[in-house]
Amino acid sequence: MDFIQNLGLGFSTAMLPYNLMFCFIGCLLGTAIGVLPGIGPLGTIAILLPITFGISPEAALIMLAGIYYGAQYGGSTTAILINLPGEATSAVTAIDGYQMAQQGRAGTALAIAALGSFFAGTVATFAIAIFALPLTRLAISFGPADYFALMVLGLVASIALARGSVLKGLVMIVLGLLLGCVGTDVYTGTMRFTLGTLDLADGISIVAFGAGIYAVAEILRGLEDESDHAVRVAPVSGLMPRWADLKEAAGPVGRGTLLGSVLGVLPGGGALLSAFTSYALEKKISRHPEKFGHGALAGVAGPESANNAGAQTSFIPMLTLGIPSNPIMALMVGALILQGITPGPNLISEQPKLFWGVIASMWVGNLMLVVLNLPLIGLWLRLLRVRPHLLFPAIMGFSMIGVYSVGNSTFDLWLMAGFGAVGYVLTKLECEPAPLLLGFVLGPLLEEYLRRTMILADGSPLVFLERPVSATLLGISAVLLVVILLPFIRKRREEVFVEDD
Amino acid sequence: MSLRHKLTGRNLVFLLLFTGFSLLTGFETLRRLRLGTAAEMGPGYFPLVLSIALGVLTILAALTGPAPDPDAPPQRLTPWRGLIMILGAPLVFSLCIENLGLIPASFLSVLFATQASVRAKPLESLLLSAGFTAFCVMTFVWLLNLPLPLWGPMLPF
Repeated sequence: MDFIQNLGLGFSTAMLPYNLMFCFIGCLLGTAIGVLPGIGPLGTIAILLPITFGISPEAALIMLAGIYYGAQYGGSTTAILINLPGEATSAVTAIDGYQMAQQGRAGTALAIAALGSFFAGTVATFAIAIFALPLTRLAISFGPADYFALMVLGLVASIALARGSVLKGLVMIVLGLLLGCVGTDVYTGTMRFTLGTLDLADGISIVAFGAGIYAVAEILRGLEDESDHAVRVAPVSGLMPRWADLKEAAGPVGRGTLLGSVLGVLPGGGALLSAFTSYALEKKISRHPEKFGHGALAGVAGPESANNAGAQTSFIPMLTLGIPSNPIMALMVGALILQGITPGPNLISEQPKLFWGVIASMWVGNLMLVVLNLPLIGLWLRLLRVRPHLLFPAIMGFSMIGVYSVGNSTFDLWLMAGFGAVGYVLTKLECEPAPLLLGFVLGPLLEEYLRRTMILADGSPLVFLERPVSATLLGISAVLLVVILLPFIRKRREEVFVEDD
Repeated sequence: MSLRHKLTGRNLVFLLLFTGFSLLTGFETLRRLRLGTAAEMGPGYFPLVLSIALGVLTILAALTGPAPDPDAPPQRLTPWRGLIMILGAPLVFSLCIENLGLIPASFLSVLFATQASVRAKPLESLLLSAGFTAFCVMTFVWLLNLPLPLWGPMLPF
């Protein structure tokens, strides 16, 4: 049993006091920003990215991962209690969770959400441990053409699952790829689009880019409307779920976990897709579909488990292939690169402590989160009383110090302000920033693999169709693109996402 | 829906902005970068393909996108005050950090950012900026050892 030994190594790494502390900080921060509207895990990770430079790579990734899955817990709390999903993935939970709270079952909803998430997190941890090695072996046999095709699939999937216009999503991807071209060309050393300044020779700083698009632009949006919104928090009672509730939730939790674990691995997948799909599934197979939307326990248990499982298994492509499947993973890749580590199939053999430590820390973190979230719920609700106009300057402050400290470059601060403005304009034009970030991160890799493939194939694009792996992946991408462009499916997609607003 | 109707407001801004950018990068590529061939791609090959793709996709998106809804509520935009203060804060930080050091840079830029909100009160803003700066010095410089000078060379001490 290879993976048990590996997990052992992982747990011994994750349980080091230093790593435990950063795991705790990550979970704490994640819960906090999950509760707070206006800042999500993406913005937080973008801001904290530079700070991870000063700590060990294990601790850095453990903390950032904690923020990601911690936000899933925190987001569900506000979704259930005030019908305000602090995080996009909790939007589904709000549908039935808030209704349960209205009926005086807030405690049950919170407890089931937390326990379901914990169960899902446990299963997902083992799933990663079991499937990581075979996947890595598979990845090593991949040629450059296959990698190229895999990245194309990831990019296409990222818009298939995002909201808004598919074509605008494609525009965002291409724009991201173009921004990724800025800097020194690796093959020839030629400067590309550097506007004559050496500040751009290494390309656009991902930290300035991320903080601008996600933190600054989000703050600008928050300042559009500063009128008061009265927050009504449902009273919490009965945090100990009854046996009957547990039995009722077991099925949805199990199915949600399975669904989330599988969907999380897919390029473009992750927590959001898992939650929506699980809700749709539970509603479909339920004997009382009419209960959904009026406080069905399954409508909370399923999606909450699914989003947590999906959040965790979305680490698999990043850790084994070095390919981020969603923008959060793109930032994780950024964190590793800052540390001088190139993620890819070799990560597992070159950095076994990092690899298994991060995986084991997820289970530890999930345990911490149950403890942090259930008994301390009152504390988190108090966070909601923090006025936004006091929060904005602090977020700006963290972003500025963070962006500056990566390269001691004042130019990056200007870039951050610039991308803040760009990000704001994009939201006004109804363009989603997620495909932009993914394109930006994948751009240099995509180009490198394309050029390598073309050199090997002597310029014949047919090579992509001759290799079975790349042909299959490109085929799936093409089908996916056609399918989402068809009007019928487009309508269904809008229906699925309509509940998000 | 007529074409003319579609190309108003948001769609038009989108079209002009992105085709403009695509032309800009396309011409810049052609002017400065070697293209090479498919078998031996130069630094300009990939950017040129992307520039063309960006232009084509933008035009498609603008033409096929939904026409603006005449009944939709008017776009809400961030007031100038918010825009200037939030986008200006990083510039304030960049002007201060090298000469004055982290403490003045953090204090002044956060103070600047607090003024973005119409709800800002003078004393509250001062306290927030000072508290934030103290917190950052403790965590980033003392705990995490980020190499940032607390006071810069332009200060007399």
